Amino acid sequence: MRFNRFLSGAFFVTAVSLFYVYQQTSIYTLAYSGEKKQRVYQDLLDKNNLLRYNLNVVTSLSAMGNKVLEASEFEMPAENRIVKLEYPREKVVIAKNKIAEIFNIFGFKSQAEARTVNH
Amino acid sequence: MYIKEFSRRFYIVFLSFLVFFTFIIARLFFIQFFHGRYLSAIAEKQQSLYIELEPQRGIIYDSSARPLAINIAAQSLYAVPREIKDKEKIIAALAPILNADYSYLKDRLYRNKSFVWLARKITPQQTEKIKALKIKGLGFIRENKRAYPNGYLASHIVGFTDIDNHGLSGEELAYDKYLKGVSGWAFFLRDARQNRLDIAAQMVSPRDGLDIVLTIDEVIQYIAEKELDKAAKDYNAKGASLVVLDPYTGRVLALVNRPTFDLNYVSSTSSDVRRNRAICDLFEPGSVFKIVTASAALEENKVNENDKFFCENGSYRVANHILHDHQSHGWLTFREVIEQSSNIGTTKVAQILGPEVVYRYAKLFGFGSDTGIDLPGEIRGMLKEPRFWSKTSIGAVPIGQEVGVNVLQLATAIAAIANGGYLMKPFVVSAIQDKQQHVLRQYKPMAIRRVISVNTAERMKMILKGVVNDGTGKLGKPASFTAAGKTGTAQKLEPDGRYSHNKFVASFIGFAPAEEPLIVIAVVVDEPHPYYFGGVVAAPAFKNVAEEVIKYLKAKQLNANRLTGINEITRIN
Repeated sequence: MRFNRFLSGAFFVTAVSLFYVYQQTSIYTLAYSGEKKQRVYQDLLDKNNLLRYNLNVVTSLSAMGNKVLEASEFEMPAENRIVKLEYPREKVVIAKNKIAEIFNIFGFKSQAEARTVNH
Repeated sequence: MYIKEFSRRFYIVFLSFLVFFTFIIARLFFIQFFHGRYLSAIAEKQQSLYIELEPQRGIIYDSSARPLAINIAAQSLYAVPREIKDKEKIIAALAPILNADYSYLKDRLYRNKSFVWLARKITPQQTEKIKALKIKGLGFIRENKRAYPNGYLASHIVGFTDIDNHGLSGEELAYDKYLKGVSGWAFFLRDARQNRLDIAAQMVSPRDGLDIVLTIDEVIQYIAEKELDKAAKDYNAKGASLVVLDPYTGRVLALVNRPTFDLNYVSSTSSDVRRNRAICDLFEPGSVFKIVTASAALEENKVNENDKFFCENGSYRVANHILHDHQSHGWLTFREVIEQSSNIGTTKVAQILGPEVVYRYAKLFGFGSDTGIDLPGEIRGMLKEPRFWSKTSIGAVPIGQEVGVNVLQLATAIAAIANGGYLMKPFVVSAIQDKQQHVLRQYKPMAIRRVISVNTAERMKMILKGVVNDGTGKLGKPASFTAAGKTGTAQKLEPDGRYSHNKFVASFIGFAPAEEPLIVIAVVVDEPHPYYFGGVVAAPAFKNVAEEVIKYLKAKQLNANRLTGINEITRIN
């Protein structure tokens, strides 16, 4: 009987000890797996962040402005560099052509002028 | 006999075991009670790793919640020199990837240390290339790196940080204590191979930095940057600054300097380029300062708009100095004196007022004092008290000579006229918020003092509108709305103390629309050439910025009204 009790006690202590060891190793196994997942998670977060940053760069006004300038061949000059022509104020006197005046009698219609094409 | 023999052997074995066990127990006792603490400490050191947990630096947003400064992850390369065998081969491999000197890498790798940095916060491309080399003894540590998606936009306002994310200029410096957060720490467990495990024996979480929201509008800032860039390049200027303010609140909508720099590549720029000229540079303002003299004259009821002044046909003696106008005038009304920017006319007005009154109004307008803007490095300017004025000062100070100002002071001064007479404190940061966008602190507009009465402000608006319509500021007149302002063309001082004949500061300060101003703009161009008049160099920049910004603000208001209308319709339905 005593021997049986001793055996039962020993068995119980051994089982608990083994369970404790198993628990400790499980903790470490989970820790390794957690570490691995954390690295993947962090990597994805970082890539997401970097993508957002790149998006912000590409959609920033300065970047878009540069792209437009690069693509565009036409450049609008500044207003202070545009030369405006003005007609002279005094009336322009057209010299009379006497021969033309004679032929005016044949002119029944109004003088020829370019007509716009109206679509 | 047999039994006796058996007993003796039994006792010998028993005694042996007893001695042995006594020794074991004594040893255990010694280890546990006398050596225990020491051994525990070694075990803890071996099994745990103290790590400081870096907080995320706060983000800087513009007024429309677009990020101006953010954090991205970057790998920092370290080496364990004791583990590296073929150092020369590694140096040869790393030098081209890192763009580092051979001597620098050699110095680092030949140190008798267990840890040395080789390069901090390198690019992802560099990281991949080094990982592909599969060199034992090299490792990477993930760190946070400050990045600026807009490059040079608002560079002088946002500022930049050092390699360890400490603010060094601009708002990164001014609000560093809010942005930096609080580091945490943790004791992580390590396995037998010294690899860190994701189990923290003890941990204090880091507190991330707070985000700040600026008053700067990215669109207005871009418009201002584009126009100032054009003006500075067209006139080969040494430098230039432009400030756009909301006259009623003092909110800084844009602040631009040229030359400028890209915030992502600070190390390759000089301190001259990084200087915030709009608040750090002192200069004599010239004719733009006449708004002070004119306002004082109207406020003190010493003159009215139609009073006539004889402008001495362009030459007037003040003590032992001859004062000149850029164009000879005879009789001009007070209004025309300002419209045509007559130095002689203004001096005669100032002589009526006297030095004390001119000085008092200059102080009221904020000259000679800090504006109080929340940016580091502001210079307060220079304004001599009347007791230090010479006999010629009455012909100098009222026309903007013998006075030192910065661009922001000019903007806030003209804003005081635009908003009906209040000097508003300019500010750049509108709110501090946490990561959940709860506002922790809101900065509100602050009126410093009343400078002039509403009536004087209205009269000044009409006069300054005349400057743009009929006077020296015609090139600053926008096409589709009214504007008011003042031009300035100030000679710079040479090192020998005399005024230069070929170095000028061209300026224009104004607001638009003239009747109900939405914005105030101050443009200053340093040493433009070949043209140097404020009305030619700075006024067009004012006009272009005003036109674009007002178009944008009106469209923004229209969109906001439309949204309000849609929301209202939705609510009713």
